[in-house]
Amino acid sequence: MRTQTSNVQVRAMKKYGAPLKVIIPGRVFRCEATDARHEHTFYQLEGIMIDKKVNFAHLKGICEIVGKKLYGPETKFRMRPKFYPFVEPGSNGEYTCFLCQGKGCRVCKNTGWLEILGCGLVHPEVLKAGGIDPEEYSGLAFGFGLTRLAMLKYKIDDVRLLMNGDERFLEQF
Amino acid sequence: MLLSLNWLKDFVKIPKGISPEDLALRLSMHTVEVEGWSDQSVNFNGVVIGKVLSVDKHPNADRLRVTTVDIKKEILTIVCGAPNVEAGQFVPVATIGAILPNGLEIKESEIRGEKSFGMICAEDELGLGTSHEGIMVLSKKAKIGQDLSEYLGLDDIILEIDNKSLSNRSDLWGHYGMAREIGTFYDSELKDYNSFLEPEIVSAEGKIDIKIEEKQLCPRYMALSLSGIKIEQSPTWLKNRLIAIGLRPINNIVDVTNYVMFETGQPLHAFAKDKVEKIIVRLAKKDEHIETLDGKERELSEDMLVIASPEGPIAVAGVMGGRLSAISDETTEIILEAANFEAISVRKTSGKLGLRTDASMRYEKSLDPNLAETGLRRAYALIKTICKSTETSSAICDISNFSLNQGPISLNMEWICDKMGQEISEKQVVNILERLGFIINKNEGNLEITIPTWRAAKDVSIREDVLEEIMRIYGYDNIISSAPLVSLNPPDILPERILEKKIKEILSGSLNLTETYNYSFVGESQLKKLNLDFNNYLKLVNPISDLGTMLRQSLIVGLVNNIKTNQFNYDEVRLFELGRVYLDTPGMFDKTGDDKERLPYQEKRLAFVLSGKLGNYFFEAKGIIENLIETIYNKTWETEFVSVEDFPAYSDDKKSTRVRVGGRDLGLVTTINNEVATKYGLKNETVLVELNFAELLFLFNNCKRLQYESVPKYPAISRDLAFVVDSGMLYNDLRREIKSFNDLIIDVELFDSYQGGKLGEDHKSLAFHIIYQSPDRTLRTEEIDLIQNNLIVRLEEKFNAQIRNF
Repeated sequence: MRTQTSNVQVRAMKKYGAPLKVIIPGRVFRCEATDARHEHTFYQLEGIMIDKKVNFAHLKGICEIVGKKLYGPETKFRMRPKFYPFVEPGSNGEYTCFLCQGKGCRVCKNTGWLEILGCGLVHPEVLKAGGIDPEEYSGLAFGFGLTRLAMLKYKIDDVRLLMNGDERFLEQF
Repeated sequence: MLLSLNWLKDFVKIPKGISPEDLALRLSMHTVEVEGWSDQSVNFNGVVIGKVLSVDKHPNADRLRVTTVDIKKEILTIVCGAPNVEAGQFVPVATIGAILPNGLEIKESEIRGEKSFGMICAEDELGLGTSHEGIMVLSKKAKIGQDLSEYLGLDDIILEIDNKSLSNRSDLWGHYGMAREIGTFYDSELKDYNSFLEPEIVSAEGKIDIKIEEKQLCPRYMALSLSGIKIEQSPTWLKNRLIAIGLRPINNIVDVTNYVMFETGQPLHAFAKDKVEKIIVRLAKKDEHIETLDGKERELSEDMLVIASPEGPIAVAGVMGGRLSAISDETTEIILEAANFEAISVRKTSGKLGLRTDASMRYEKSLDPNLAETGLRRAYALIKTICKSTETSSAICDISNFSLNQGPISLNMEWICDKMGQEISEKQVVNILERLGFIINKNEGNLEITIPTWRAAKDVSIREDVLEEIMRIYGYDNIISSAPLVSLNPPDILPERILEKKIKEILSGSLNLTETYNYSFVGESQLKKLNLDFNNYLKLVNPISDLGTMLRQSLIVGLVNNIKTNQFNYDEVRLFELGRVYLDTPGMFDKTGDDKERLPYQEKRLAFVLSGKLGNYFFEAKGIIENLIETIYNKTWETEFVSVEDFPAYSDDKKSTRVRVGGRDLGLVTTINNEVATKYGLKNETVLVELNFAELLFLFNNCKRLQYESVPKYPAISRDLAFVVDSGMLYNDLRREIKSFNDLIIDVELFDSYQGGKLGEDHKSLAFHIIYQSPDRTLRTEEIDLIQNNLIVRLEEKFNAQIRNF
């Protein structure tokens, strides 16, 4: 049980070494009171790639492709600096709001963008912890909130529906 | 945190033509997330200054008056209820169409028969204070018809910053730090903050008696005593700045400490000197408590750092001051404190007390200890400006115990470009870093970078941190994305995921079950209702609710609960879940990092539930398992249902069985017994299946691969036989016996089961199709008759099975 899937990064590095390309989906837990927008149990999907000469432009390229695949070929990707302790430099990732095609709506708070992921270059301390030499290798990592993606895609307005086993909800999928 | 644009402009020039949207976007793209911005004057749209020309009694109401007010454009008749309205006053007038900060929209109205074309406002109606004593009377210098926002100087633009995005940047918790960022990304000059500080504080005779007992928790403590203080309201400019960022002005001294905190990020505190004989920075003692400035009595614990006088605590360090030592209207001498407290200690204390303050929020981000001096000098400069009689009445006290690692960090351009994935010029890099305050020395192709103190406390320590500084100012948006050039290796095949997917497809497909997820947490009441013993369940230290105090050890608990959720909406509910349970035995993952202790075993299970009033769910559940096992293992094994003694306490043992495949125990089929069903409130028969996924996976890794066998050349012949046996007999035992009786019998299928009627309750009839086939010849009737007769004899001998006569 963990609060994020990022801990698996180090486990994967220890098990497989470099180079490495891995996808990590999983259930995560947070100490959070539940309401329509907050849940203590949800799902994340994380990706990590380690090789010689992996760089920030690659990270941006990969996330761009993911966005186009998920939300259509017109989808744009935007990065803004954000602090996550296990990446440096760190960034968030926003895609064109697919509900309003970037025009601005209630869901994207009129920005035209949806904050979907966190990403960055793997912190050298994380590489070291995984037994990989940060002088030789570099890595990129990104993580999505799967639950959030599903909610946005299907316009689900109450996160608790995903975990309460109500057939009236489940049978719609 | 709120930022005032006017305040930022004190320090940095914002290029012409930059709109608030531009600024908010650039801040978001380079530095921190801006949640929104607002124009302060919007609050006063339609509110203008008017001069009261006449005041007359309202003909129909004693307490109301009818006034005429000149607002330059026109003269309005306004009905007013305030006792203090008089002719000749200058007053704020909300004209028709104005929307006040409290949401009130001004309309033409009729009050007790008199028409009114606007409203003369009180302070609270304009969001400028709490007074509702009467209308706000403005200075005679006000201009008739002038916008109120202009008159008040409340024409600022306010930016709202998301505090979470500031959590790693202690230097951004004040306007000056933000101005530095703005200056950097607009490439615009930033004023030297030294020009805002008191150049030299003239020391006076006298020392403040200070003792720091906890040097680790208090890296720096500065204090200065000031006399000649006159406590009064702050000047308007100062009040307006505080109002703009959402603070309530209190008095000149408190306002200055707040002002400096929101400008530099350094929290300050002012003690009334006559209440503080000596200052001791120490841990709280057992059973100590303090009344904080907010008037609440607070229990302190021994891990909390306090500022104390010999009588007891006078402030919770870094969190909030105490009431006893607070300044009052009579105070004439103060001790101004500018200290640095250790981040984690402040965070723990503030968490324990449930008291998050502007000061504690800053300390817990690790402030630069050098900022204490900046803050003190700035505060002194301001106090002297607004309270001219101020004199220092002590020497500056400065006790410090800190060191910062300012580097230098060495890196070169090749490394930077490699990590970015594109070219950037050295000139650009140097410009960005210098504007942010880094000092750069070029040394044989390397850049030796010294970290400014305000970034050295926790934030920047390795070259990757410097890379982020360069990149975020350069703009992530300016990075051209590219695809990595890497070796293309086929991924490892993960049988676990393949099997999971297969199982989900089959169950939710042809077997018509719905997949669900339940929480990993269960509560006592649920388990009790199921007669489950939860002694060895893992308990949560800090459960979110009574419904989730323990970790589940079975998936069926959640599924039974799902039946309750759904049984009133559906005649039949069919759900499955694939998930983990948490057992009180060591698992595979290391817990402590040194492999001495392991995390609990988190076993994966597959469970499903059938409940309703439409079928025989015990039989159906067994059928589902058989079907699943046959499909996922390519008919390698047959499913066996084994009767055992020991079923869970919630089950009806007669309709429960263990599941065996390939000689391995997979799990259980159980039917909820009537007692539990009643207790739990289940309306219908409920059958539960729970299988161990690790066992399913083991079999999956060892099952037959699908392979073609030649199509039989000779025909198969089917014969039907029905046997009467004891009602307790398992059909599978009979079927297996038939199947293995002769090589020419290639398949046996049960097609009917009947109990009762003429047979009585003790017996049942089981009818089978028996298929005969030979790979090398067409079977003759006599040959089959012989086998069949021997089979009948054999079954009679072994099971006392009688051929049923219809």
